[in-house]
Order: sequence, then structure tokens, then C-alpha cells
Amino acid sequence: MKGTLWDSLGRSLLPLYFVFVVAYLVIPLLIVVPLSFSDTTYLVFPPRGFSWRWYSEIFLNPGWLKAFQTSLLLGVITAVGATGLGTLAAMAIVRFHRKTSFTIGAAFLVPQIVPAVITALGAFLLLNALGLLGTFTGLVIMHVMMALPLVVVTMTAALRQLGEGLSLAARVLGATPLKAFIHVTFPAVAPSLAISAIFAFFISFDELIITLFISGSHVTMPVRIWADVKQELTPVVPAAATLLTLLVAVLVVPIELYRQRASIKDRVKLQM
Amino acid sequence: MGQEHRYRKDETQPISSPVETSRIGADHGVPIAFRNVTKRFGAFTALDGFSMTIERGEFLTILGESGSGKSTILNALAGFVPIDSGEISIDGKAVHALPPEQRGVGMVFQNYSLFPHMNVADNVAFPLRMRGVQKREARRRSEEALDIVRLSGLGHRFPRELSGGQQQRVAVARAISFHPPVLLMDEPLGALDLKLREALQFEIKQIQRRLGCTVVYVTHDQREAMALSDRIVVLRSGRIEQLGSSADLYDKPRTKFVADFIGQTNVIPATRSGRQVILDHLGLIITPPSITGGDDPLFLNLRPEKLTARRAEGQEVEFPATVQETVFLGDTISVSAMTPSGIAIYFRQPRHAASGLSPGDAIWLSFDPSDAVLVVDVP
Amino acid sequence: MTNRSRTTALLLAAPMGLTIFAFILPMVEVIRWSFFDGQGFTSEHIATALTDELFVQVLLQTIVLSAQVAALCVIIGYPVAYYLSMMSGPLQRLCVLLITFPLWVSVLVRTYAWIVVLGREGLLNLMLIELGIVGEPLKLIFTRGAVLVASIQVLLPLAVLIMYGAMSQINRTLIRAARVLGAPPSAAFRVIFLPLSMNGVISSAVLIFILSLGFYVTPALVGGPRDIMISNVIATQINQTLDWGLGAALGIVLLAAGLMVAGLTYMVLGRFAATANDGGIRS
Repeated sequence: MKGTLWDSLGRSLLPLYFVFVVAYLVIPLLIVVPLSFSDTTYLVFPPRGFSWRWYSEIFLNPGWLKAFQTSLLLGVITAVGATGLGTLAAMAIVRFHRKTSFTIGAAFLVPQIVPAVITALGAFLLLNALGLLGTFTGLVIMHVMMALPLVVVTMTAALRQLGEGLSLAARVLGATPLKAFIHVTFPAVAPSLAISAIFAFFISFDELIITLFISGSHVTMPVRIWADVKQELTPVVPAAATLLTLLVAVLVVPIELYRQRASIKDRVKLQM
Repeated sequence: MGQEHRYRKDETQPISSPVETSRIGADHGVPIAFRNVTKRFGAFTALDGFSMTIERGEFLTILGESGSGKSTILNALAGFVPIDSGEISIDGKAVHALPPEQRGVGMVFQNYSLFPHMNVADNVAFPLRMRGVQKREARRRSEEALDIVRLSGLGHRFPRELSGGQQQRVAVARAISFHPPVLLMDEPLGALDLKLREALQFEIKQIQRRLGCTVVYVTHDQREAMALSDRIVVLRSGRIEQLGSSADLYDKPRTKFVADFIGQTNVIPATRSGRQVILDHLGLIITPPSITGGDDPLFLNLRPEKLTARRAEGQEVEFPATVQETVFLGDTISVSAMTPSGIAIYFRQPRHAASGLSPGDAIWLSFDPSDAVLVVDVP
Repeated sequence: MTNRSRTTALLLAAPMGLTIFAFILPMVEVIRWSFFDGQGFTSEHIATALTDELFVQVLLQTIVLSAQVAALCVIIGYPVAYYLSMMSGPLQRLCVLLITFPLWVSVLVRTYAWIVVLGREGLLNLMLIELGIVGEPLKLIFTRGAVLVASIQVLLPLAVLIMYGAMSQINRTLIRAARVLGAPPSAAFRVIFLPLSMNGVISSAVLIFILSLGFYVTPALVGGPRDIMISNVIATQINQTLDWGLGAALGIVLLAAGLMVAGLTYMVLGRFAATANDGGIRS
């Protein structure tokens, strides 16, 4: 009896609890959207009037536009660089035997679990010593480094799943290692490469702390928002926040759906 | 290193199984009955008005292909899937509305499902602890159960430190440690290699005889079913195709499906003509001992070992064939041949009798009409 | 064979080089600045970081807040992860997406939203006054509570996803086995599912703790002047006080504190999960 009571309690309370938690996670993201269309120059809830003026502010104000362009450029360079380097690392990692492979893979993840402020501090001190502080090059190097772990994880998983079988088969059939990679391995892992690149882009696009320490005069989108949030509370920040959230929705949602479908397919395969 | 788990007393259920008797070997199996059980998964009907009675202390095997409903029967009996209609009773009491923990049955799973975070002793003692048996007593009985499966002294090991065969034995020990009157086994040997499987079949049989419990065993392996069971129920699309002893199913299959499923055989299309049967493909007319079935298509079921090959004609009931291939099986030789009408016939010969047969040889195959069993093909 | 290992080394060269340059060297630099000055070795910075009342207090505050965030994330997230792991099909995909989506939105944006919600004239106060629950707006923002609420919102998805990953590794037949062998649902959960999910719980607690240690944005935006974290102090040393040696020393102390707490957690809690996750019998 007690068992069934617990059971039905859990069955009815859990969904409710889940909805509550999702609301806690998602509603704050949605709340900025109506604010961004406010007609007032100050933040007030509920927003009054309707206008696009804060969006045009982002694209017309030279400061915001420059920040947006800098972030975009930095994000794209980071995506390309981190995906390339991360894939090389993943290709090396899958060549090792289990334990070594795991250790080297884990070594690439360490930067991910060091509090960002310490990395930022170190980057500041090092780049300063090398005279790279405040340079775009310095920013690129640090951003690529920050994005590298996720690419390594994604690509190692993809290459492991692919196995060596396919490319070996291609080699047996007469392809050179390079040709085997171009014609067999690359197409098979192309979706993972795209995913890695987009993830890397977002890591760069969202990065604030390290950028704040080392960017100097290069203002990125998060740095610009940061400055604005601390100084004035106009609806231009909600507009920027809405744009960033929208970008995530457009780029990340399809990826997550694809990844889940893929992992479900794996699960089915394992069961058979 | 023993894992401590505290179980609150008030959560253990009063269970009808005789856990009080610590004596092992008591004949305490109980009968099980399915009455008109139906189970659907969406549009798929897994069980369709399924009825069956299992005797006290019987070893009954449910044999079928995947999707035949055999797992559904076991899961319904264990309480994992609710049934849509009908009744399931254990020892005369309706259990289909009870949760699994109140049905008092032991169960061995396909992949053993040992609890990886508990050592062997704790795994085996689990059902006892769940029934409020004191720690010391539970440990003693878990030793006893491990003794029965010949794993004494391995109680401190963890499941991952055991071989597949050992894990399987632990799973059996865990299922019998509380002397359940009913033991369910879901393809318990499926993950093992052939040799180990055969050895463990004997052990399972022995354990069941010793405990006297009623066993419901699910498998898709007809050889395993024949080796173990008192009775076998052949399941097809959620319905009973045939229920009987191993010998019954082998010698007297009722349908083409059962004949095909149990052992190797030849099923040859036949047509009825009064009390006689015409075998067009063999160019024979025979008078079998009996003719069953109505208008359903008729087949002659001829087991390979019932056929005798000769180089020349001269028997009353025989037909010509050409040897296609011979396969050495040790004590016998399995031969495939082709009749002039183009159907393949398999037969088996003792080594000495078949020696010398080679592909291309023309032979005559004869059989005793009283060995011929007619089967029907019901869709 | 040597050919193969040469290729491997060649593949590793560039990514390893980058990691060494952009991660190892900065760490070395942090250590160098904390222990050396123009004259040579000095323990002065570390001594200041460890004895100055303000720094010690901020460090303790950081550790306590991080521990709170980690504990609350795990406690709030566990039922969510459990619920996700019990679902299947498109509904599960949708729900996982709902959890994953906020993770990809910038921390800055997510924290900013809390200013809007918790502000003096924010959404929450507006609702409370509208409903007549309070007469005056409550002081919600710039409090320790606001930092907690915002930090948990930022890190909760990660905690849920890690635990969900560990839970979906648990073979559900084990629960069935426990049930049929006599365990009521609550006991099957407590004795089988909970210990088997412990590895995920510990991993997410430790990761959330470490990530919280470095929190910078959230305390600065929604915390009061007394809610600053060690990151904010380090930033001040670098940008304003220009005492880089002290800033570096504070970083070292933070790193050491984080490693110690994480190691301790693994040692104490890891025992419970030592054997939990090796599903030796999953086929």
C-alpha cells in the first residue's frame, strides 16, 4: 500500500516539480524580450509602448556595431582554429590505447575546470610579459584555448564511434592515408565538425572574464553589455540579450535535436 | 568491505511465500493459472486470450521467437506489465493486480541483473532483507543458497569480478535464497557460450528437483527447452500453438510451425484423398496412421532420422533423390538431397551407413509410413 | 610502429603547443608572480593573501557560497534528472532541450535577467505588491539570496545534465529485479537507484563547486557590496590596485582551496560510489 502511495505521489508531483524548475530556468530568459521593445529610455516593468529603437541602437551606434563585429570575427576565427586543432588532438587521442587515450583526453579538459578568473589572471600576466596584452592576436589565442576542450570531447567521441575500420578498409582498397581521410573519415564526421565549430563559436561569443582581463581596447559584445549594465539601465541591454538568446535558439536548438537523435540511434544499435 | 544498507522494517510486505521454513528441498511448488489474459501494446496484441495452467512443481518452458509474446507472459506474471483483461493466479490467488514485490516469486534475468554495487552475499541476501529477515539469518541463508549453486566462499566478491557462468549462478542463488514457490527464468543462459550453457542446463534441472518449486522458463532455444522441461508451450503471435511434453512436440507436432520449430525436419506438401495422402513431390501415395485437420493445407512431417538411404530401389515406400552435400557431425552424417521434383530433403545416417555417399550420387530414400506425421499449416 | 607514433606526435604537436602556451604558461606566470618579485623568492604575497582579514573573509565567503550553490544544484537537480531519465521518446528530447537551452545562453544575459526580476521595481516586487502580499517593495536584489538564486539558475542545467547522464547509464532491469525480489518502489529507489546514481551526483557537485569558485559576473551584478567573491577581489588587484603579485597569490590560494575541497569531497563521498557505476553486467 505504501509503495503504491509513494508511486502515485511521485507520478503526480514530479511533473509539477519539473515544470516549476524549467520555469525557473527559462522564464528569466524570456522576461528580457518584452523589455527590449520598450519605448521608454529607462527600464520599467511592465514595459510601455512599442518600438524597435533599441535594436536600431545596436546596429547604428558605432560602439555597439563595432562590438558586434569584433565578437563575430573573433567567434568565427575561434571556431575555425579550435575545430582544426581540436580535431588534430582527437585524431591523436583515438590512436592511443584505452588508458593512455583517456589520460591524454582528460589532460585537454583541465582548462575547463580551472576557475576562469585564474586563467584570466595568468593570461593577463603572460600576455603582458610578451607584449601581447590588448592585441587581437592575444584574444584569439586565449579564445581558441578556451574552446578547445569541447571540440576535443566532441571529436574524440565522433572518431571513436567511427572506429578505425572504415579508414583501414579504404587503405586496403588502395587509398593513401590522406585520401582515406578526405573521402572516408571526413564526410563521416562532418556533422560533428559542424557542431564543434558552432559550439566553439558560442564559447568565444559568450566569453567575458578572460576577455575583460586581456582585451584592452578591443570591445566584444559581452564586454560592451557588461559596461552598459554597470553604468546605465536602458533597454539597449535587453535588446542585445534578446539578440544573443535568439542566436542561441537558431543555432543550438537544431544541433541539440540532432545530437539527441544520434544518441538515441546509438542506444537502439546497442540494444540490437 | 561489506556494503551496509539499512532497510526500514515497516516497508517490508507480508508475503505469502514460506520464508519461515529454512529447510531446503521441501516440495512447495504451487500451481499457476492464466485465464483469458489479453495484453496490447498500442496496436500490437502481445497476448490474445491466453489461457494456461501450470502444475505444482512443474518445469514449464515458454518457447517462441522474439515478438511471440513469451516475454510478455513472464513480465505479466512477475508484475512488470499490467494486463488488459483476464486473470493470473498463483496458488489459487489472483495476483494480476498486485505489485511485483507482493507476488512472492523468484526471478532470474537474461543478463542476470546483479546489483553491481553489492557483493555476492548482499545480492543473494537481498530478497531476504527485503522480507525483514535479520542480518545474521539472512547471511546464513545466503550462504546456503550459494552452496546450492556451488559458489560457497565467493560471497565477498563483486559481480564484475566473476565470470559469466558464475554471475549466472549468483543470479540463480539470489532468486532461490528465499525459497520462492515459483521461479521465473527469462532466457537465463542466453548470454553464455554453448558448452557452459549445456553444463548449466543440468544444474538448473537439479536445483529445481531439489527445491521442488514451480519453474516458468522462457527461451527461444528449442534444444534447451527440450532438455529442461516437463512441458513446453510453443507460442506464436500471442497464442498457444501447441502445449505438451518434449516428446509430444517432437513426435506429434500438430502444425507445420511446431514441426519446423522443434528440431530439424522435412515438411512436404501433401493432399488428402479419403484415408490416403498423396505426396506429389515424392511421387507417393501413403496411408498414414491417422489424418487430422480440416481444410487447412496439409504437410507430411518427416524427421531426418526416419529416412534410410539405399543405392538401389526395392522398398515399398521410397523415392529417388540426388545427394547434394554431406556434413560430418561426429556420430552421424547429415545429408542434403534433392528430389527430381526439386525439393530439398535432409536426412541423417549413422557414420558407417552413410560412408561413401558423395555429392551427385543417385539414391533411394525410404521411410515407414507409420512414422509419417501429418501437420497442418494454420496462418 | 615508430612511423605511427611519429604521426601521433605530429598530430598532437599543435593542440598541445597551444594548451601549453595559453594554459600552462599562464599558470606558471601566476605562480611566478605570487612567489617572486624583483629580488627573488618571496612569501610576502601569499602571507598577505592568507592573513589579511578581508581576503580571508572573502575567500571563506566564496567557498561557503560555492558549497551552497553546489549542494542546492544537486538537491534541486536530482529529481529533475530522475524525471528526465524516466521519460522516453520525443517528450524526453523536448524536456532535455528545455534544460540544455539555458546553458547556451550567455551567463551575462542570464544574470542580467535577474536584475529585471529581482529589482526594486522588478517583476517579482511588482507581482507581490499587485497581489497585496507586501505593501512596500522588498529588498531582493543586491543580497546574498539574489546571488544564490542567480548562480543556481546559471549552473543548475549543468548539474541536471551530468546527473541525467549518469542515471541513463543505470540498467532499468536492476529496478525490476529489486521489485520482483521483494522491494517496494521506495526501497528499490533507495537501495538500488540512489547508490548507482551517486557517481553522477558527486561529479556534478564537485564540478559545480569548482565553477562557482570562479564566479565573477553574478556577485558583481546582483550581489551587494558585501557579497563580493574572490574573483572580484582579484580583478580589483589587477585593474585598480595594480598589485599583481597579490592578485596572483589570491588566485593560487583560490586554486589550492578548490583542489582541497574537491579532493576531500571525492575522498569522503567517493567511497559510497566507488563501485556504483561500473555496470559489469550490462550487456
